[in-house]
Amino acid sequence: QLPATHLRVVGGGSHNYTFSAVEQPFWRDTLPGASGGRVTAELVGLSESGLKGPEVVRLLRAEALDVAMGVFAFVSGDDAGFEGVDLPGMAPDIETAHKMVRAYRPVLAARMRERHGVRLLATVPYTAQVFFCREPVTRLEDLKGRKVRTRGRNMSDFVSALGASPVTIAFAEVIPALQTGVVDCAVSGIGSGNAAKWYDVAKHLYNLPTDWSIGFYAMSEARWRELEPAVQQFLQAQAQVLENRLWDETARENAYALACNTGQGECRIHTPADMQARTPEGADREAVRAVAAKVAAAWGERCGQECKAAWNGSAGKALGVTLP
Amino acid sequence: MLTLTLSMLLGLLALSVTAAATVGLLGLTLAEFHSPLSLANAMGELAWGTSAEFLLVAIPLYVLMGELLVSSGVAGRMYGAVSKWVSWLPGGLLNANIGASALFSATSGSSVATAATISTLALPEQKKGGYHAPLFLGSIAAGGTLGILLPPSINMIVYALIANVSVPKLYLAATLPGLLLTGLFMGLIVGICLRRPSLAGQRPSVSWSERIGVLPDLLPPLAIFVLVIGVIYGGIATASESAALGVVAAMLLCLWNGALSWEMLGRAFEATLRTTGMIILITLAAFFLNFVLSSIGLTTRLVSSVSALDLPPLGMMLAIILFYIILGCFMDTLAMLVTTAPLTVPIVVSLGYDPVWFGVMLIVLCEMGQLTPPFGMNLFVVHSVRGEGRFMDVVVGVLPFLAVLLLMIVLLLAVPQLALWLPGWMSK
Amino acid sequence: MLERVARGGAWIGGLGLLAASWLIVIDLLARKVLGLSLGGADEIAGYVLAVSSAWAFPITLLRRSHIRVDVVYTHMAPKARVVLDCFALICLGVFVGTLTYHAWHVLAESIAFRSVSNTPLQIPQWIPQSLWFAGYAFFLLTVVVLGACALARVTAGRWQAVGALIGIHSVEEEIVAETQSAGTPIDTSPAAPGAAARPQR
Ligand code: NA
Ligand code: NA
Repeated sequence: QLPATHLRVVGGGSHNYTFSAVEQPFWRDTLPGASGGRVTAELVGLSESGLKGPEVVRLLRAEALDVAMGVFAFVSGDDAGFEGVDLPGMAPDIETAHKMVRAYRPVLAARMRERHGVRLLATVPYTAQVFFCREPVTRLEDLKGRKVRTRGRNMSDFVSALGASPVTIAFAEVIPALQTGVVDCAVSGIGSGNAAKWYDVAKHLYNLPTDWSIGFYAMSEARWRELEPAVQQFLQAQAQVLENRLWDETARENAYALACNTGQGECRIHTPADMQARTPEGADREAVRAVAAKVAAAWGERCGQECKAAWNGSAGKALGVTLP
Repeated sequence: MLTLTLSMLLGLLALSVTAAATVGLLGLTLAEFHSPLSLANAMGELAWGTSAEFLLVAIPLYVLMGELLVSSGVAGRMYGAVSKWVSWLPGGLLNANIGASALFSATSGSSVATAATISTLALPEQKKGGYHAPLFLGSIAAGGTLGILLPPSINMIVYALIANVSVPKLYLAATLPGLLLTGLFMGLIVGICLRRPSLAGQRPSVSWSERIGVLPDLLPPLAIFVLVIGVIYGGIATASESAALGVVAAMLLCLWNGALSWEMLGRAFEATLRTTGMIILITLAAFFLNFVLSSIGLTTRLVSSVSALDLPPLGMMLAIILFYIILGCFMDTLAMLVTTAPLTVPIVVSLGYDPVWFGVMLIVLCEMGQLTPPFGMNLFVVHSVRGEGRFMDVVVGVLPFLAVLLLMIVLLLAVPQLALWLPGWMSK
Repeated sequence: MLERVARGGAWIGGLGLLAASWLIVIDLLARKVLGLSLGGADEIAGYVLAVSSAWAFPITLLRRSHIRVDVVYTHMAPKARVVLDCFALICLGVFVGTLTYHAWHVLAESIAFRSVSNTPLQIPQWIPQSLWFAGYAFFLLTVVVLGACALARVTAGRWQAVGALIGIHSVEEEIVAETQSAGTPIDTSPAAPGAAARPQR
């Protein structure tokens, strides 16, 4: 029998679909169930705890948090290497994204443990980060000159490279900003944007996945070492369960989200809306690939030789891309 | 634990410990005794993250804008113009006090600043016009509270950050209730003065040509309002950007009026930073407390135990309103807002209320708090600018206005659309 | 001395806020009129707020403008008030001390990890954070020096003088400060602008 263990968990944003569909049931039922009630957890959403995102790794290391979820694009200020898990424009679909993350996972785990004193438990995906726009976007060309709400350095670089102007505003301010035209487009998960009712103010969807907002569940390394080996093994195995469920459920959400936003086809998870959607094709896909390569090369320069080599040997290999 | 938390909070406050330190020490104590984690280690990151938050930049900018506007003499001329326009109403200048407050509110984010400005401008007129002192004082104190209800508003910015709602939405939601409250205040004055003409003082007689002549004096504050609020809804700027526009415009106005000097800037800076320091210190202490409360599970427990009470939502809401009215008697309203909103907002949302609507309700409750003795900031302000007479004059004078604020609360409860209609309509 | 540094901090903070406003407006105009995106004004304004508010705490304290509830206080005898004042200052000192200690950790980690902002500007975090931390450290120093001065006055038996140093701003003083800073062009204002009716040390 496992020793009684109680974990305090700060999860993802509670407005996301997977928070209630996966994270809540996992920490509330699955974990205690699998341990015969010995390992229990208490979950709060990120914004309910008053955190903003960039501080998560530091707070884990300082043992101010037990287990927490973070998004790599938010915590990358302390380590550009984190951005390699989710380089923009690299993964046109969730299968490719999963391949990229799986390949880069060992690099990440080592980096997090050695440099940051945190233990990677699970990787977390979100739905494709796409453009919700006020005006129609039919070709890549149409994004030129638009003001686009983004988050994180790499996505801003990508959006600039596409000829648009990145703007940073808080999630809560996106709807009024789209409504009044403070921004022309906003990037968010194709599912999360629906959940936040962006379709009320943005009638056009440009289905170009910039990235997948890849995140992580992690635990403070010091807290991890305090656990007995049996609990460590149990947690490791359960974290894999959580990771698999998150990827499966996000893939499902992603598959229905386009139908929901356009109101055409099968919409099982979100709310049917009436957006006009366009997906880049032919020459535009080539152009995206070229821009993605350019942004990735710039990231490689920032990250350094060693980091670039680690990426080429893992994620790069899986994708068939080599940074110069 | 909840009892301990509340009694420590109230106890330290009663001992007149600085509010920010009370909140911060409460957080540290709870972190020390109720969590195996080193929650205190989050203090630095939270302080940095909170104080570098772009949304909060609007706070010092609103204060600076108000300081510059008053220094430029714009406010004084505005009061004169408003009084010429509304003085034909029964109650004469009493209505001007409300009207000028509403207009000044449109360029100021704070109630204290509004009340202080209007008191300084209006009080010399009270004796000259033979107005009943308590009612005159009450109209200024009550009018001043419009400063936080009519946009822009510092309290709403802070609430938006805590409750994670949109500032423009909140501003829109507060506009109709703010205008309605202005109307109700004026209606109250007209009603009282019609029944008891002895209280009304003399109405200055003003010719139409005079009225037309002073119209230009109304332009600067209106222009600033249109600039600061208009650009948000015109799709030009976010709330913080619009505050920056207001500061730049106010500075240009000062330059235009020849009021700009290093000495005046120094005074404006010091006043701005005094207020900013006060607000930011208590806000970041409150964010730390909020983190501790949610980490030790108190927030979750409170929400679930309140839901377990199985009160109907309306009953619960009435209890919350009563709690705020009582707390408002003893506490500064901004301190009240930041220390309690992290606890009440989740409850209210779980009851099925809209957090934007609750934001407006909370602001109206803050307005009450500014008028209720023994600790009512606007009472103090008006009494001190007056510099004579009894404090009770002011207290008696605001009583009818408190009744109007209660009526406003009932109206908001009965017709939530009062707050929610405009934001809903704008998003169509 | 303390007063001078605090006033200097207020000046720099005020100028910083003014400059940030112009920066935001220029950024806005460039975006709207010229269609150019300079970007980053929001981020810089955030740093200005963090730094200027840290440097504002001392002046707020010296002007006794941090909120304290005086419901009980006003009913106390003068000596009891001094006790409450000292207790309040100690509580503030403990809080600010802890805050400063943790602020130092934030800065130290940013230096150790060579942290940069997570935006196109890539601002090394130690630059704004060291200015921010210095503000906290100076605030702590202000609290300690004020405490020492108050203690000196208590031991010298000058009880009244303690209130002027660390007591609660009486409402009269508060309004003088409000209207003076407002500099309202009304002949009833109690003193000529700039003539300090505030307690001087
Ligand atoms: Na206002
Ligand atoms: Na009160």
